[in-house]
Amino acid sequence: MALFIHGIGSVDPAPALGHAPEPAEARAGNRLHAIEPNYLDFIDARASRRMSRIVKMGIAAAVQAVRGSGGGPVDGVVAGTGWGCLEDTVAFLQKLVVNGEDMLSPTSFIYSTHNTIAAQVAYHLKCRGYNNTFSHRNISFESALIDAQLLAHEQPAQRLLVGGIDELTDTSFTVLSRLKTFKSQQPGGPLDELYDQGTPGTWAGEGATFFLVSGEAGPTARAQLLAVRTVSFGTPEKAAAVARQLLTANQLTWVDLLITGENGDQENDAAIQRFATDFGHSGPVHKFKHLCGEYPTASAFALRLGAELLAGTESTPRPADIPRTILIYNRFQQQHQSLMLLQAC
Amino acid sequence: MGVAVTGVGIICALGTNQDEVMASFRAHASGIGPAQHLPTRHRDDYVFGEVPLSNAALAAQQGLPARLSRTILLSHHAAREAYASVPATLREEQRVGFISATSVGGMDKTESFFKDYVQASTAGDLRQVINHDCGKSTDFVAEKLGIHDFVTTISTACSSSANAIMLGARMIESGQLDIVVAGGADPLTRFTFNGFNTLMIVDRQQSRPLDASREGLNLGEGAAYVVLMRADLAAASGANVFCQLSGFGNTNDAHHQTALSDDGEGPFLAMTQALAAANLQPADIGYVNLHGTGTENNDLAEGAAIRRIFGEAVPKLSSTKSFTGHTLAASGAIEAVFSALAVRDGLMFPNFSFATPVEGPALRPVQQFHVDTSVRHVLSNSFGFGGNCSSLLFSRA
Repeated sequence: MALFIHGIGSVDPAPALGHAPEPAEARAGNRLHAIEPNYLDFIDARASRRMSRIVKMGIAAAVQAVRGSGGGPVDGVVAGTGWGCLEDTVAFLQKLVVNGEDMLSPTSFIYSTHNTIAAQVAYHLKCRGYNNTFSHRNISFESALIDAQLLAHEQPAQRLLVGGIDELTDTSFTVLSRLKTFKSQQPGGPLDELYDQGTPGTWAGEGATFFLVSGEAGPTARAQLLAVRTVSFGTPEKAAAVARQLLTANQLTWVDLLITGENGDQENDAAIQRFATDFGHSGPVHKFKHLCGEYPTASAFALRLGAELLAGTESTPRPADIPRTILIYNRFQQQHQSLMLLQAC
Repeated sequence: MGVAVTGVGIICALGTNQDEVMASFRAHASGIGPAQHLPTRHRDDYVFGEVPLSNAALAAQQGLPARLSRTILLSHHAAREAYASVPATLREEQRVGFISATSVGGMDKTESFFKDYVQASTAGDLRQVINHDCGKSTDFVAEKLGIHDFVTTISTACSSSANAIMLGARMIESGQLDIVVAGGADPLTRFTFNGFNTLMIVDRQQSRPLDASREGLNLGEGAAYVVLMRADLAAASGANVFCQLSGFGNTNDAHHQTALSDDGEGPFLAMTQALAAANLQPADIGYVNLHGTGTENNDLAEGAAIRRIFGEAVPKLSSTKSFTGHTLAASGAIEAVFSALAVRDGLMFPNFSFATPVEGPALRPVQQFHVDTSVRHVLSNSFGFGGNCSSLLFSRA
């Protein structure tokens, strides 16, 4: 049930993956924010004025993914978002609480539902096909991928948009800070100072990343997702056992590269070490959350990183230092774990 | 391979379990009335489909702490009833998933948090706001039930739990899971009530779907889950099979964020896909449980789609939302429970009241609860904001 990635679009804190963004550009205190494109390249001005930031981020990423695949129709849209449309949710809630239950306008309510992003992408592309939205914490994107994989298995020729989208707002940053999600010390150095501080907490992040995928390979395929699995309420060792099963099921004995979701929180990162040790990986390891920050669908950023590394060269023979297989392992605090196994095309 | 429905659990304004809900239908007693528990200042001006229990009473029934979100209390109540139909041996030996749905998550608690938070960003009880995200209630219930092979949450507004049931069936058909508890939950909140009210689609009286005098929906609350099981496993284990989930369709109307297209293209495509998936003709359908919110737009668009598919030969149909209110993300699963019972027992669910058909589609709903054992196939529709349209098709095993 391989899923071939034909196009990638992303609005996140690290638009050019080859070179990490300047810390001053993407980071404000313990927050990494998406570096936004000129939305008029993707959405006409009139429609854009009505849209919230997360919807614009989502549509821009989706349109980029379609263009990256060489264009063409889209048969379905599947999205994952852990936090949903926070800006509009907070706007309506604030008016409700401050004004009382009178004098409210419907606009922010209308756009507050979690499915607004996938719905607006479908509306923008006039896509009447399959449409679904998952909101399940840090496996929202993986759930969407599992759904897309099923769709591709059912009808391999379908061209599907699958993405992960989360926005950070001042309100969510404040509330998550009070919940001690983020580091208390302020950063000042390079982005990778996120790691190895031996302190609790992480940096906040956000991003919208869409993939144009199908069950068929073809000339535009840049990488293939061999498997995606979620592991709920289990130990790192259980996830490592699932990872070994995935390799075996795909006739692999090792992967060239492991991408892991360390976020600088000492407990979270210790659990990732337990996974890596038990899995027994001896090759290189890449981390990614210093580039995008922590958010429920950060794994979509990791998939982008993995797919772009696999597609990194068109020269043959393939240089030895460019990986052919990648395993992505993500987790966040005590929530769920996920695995994505990727192979070059 | 085939997917069987082998258990149901439900809580809504009509009762706190399957037996109570069916007793209400037999007595033609709707659950619509004044709100006792929703803290809205519009309490006296509108009617609601409220579950007639406080959080404390709901919690006590289940041995849970009363501080939990109402979403969790409703979800666990119905999921526990459904999962009780699965014997311990199957729970242990088979791969089991829990796929839930909600549109507001723990919004009831977030509202309380926000009341203090707007005064000062350092104020507000954090133990309330940690319930906010959609996955919180799903994880709580999955852990309580001991389900861990696959857990996720779908949030596509008012079609959410129909999509949860659809995904469960597809994961069974693809061989990834053997048993799935699928459905959804949404509580009444001031957020959703005022949201719909600002759209001016809430009726102050009991809603009258399909009736020319309709003036909108009543907001309701509840939760429901079905147990989906690999059909061969259901047969081998002697499970009580209600029906098969024989088809489904999921489309997007791609017309407007909150309104369906005049010709009901999204609903038409969803029903058409469900029929094709089950390899059935329109004439095979014996009953349709409509989305039937009672808004002007829904009844015209859904009615147009029904006429496009069935022409003059429209099967028995009705909207049970005139009994339960519109339970948002829970409605697809609540109506899936009714549809499963319609197939198994031939139960024909009525509209609460009806006098004059809507000009145009001119559909006439079932008006008396009765038994029609000739019914073999039942369609259930769920549509939502964002143009999300889903249809489920249930058939005799």
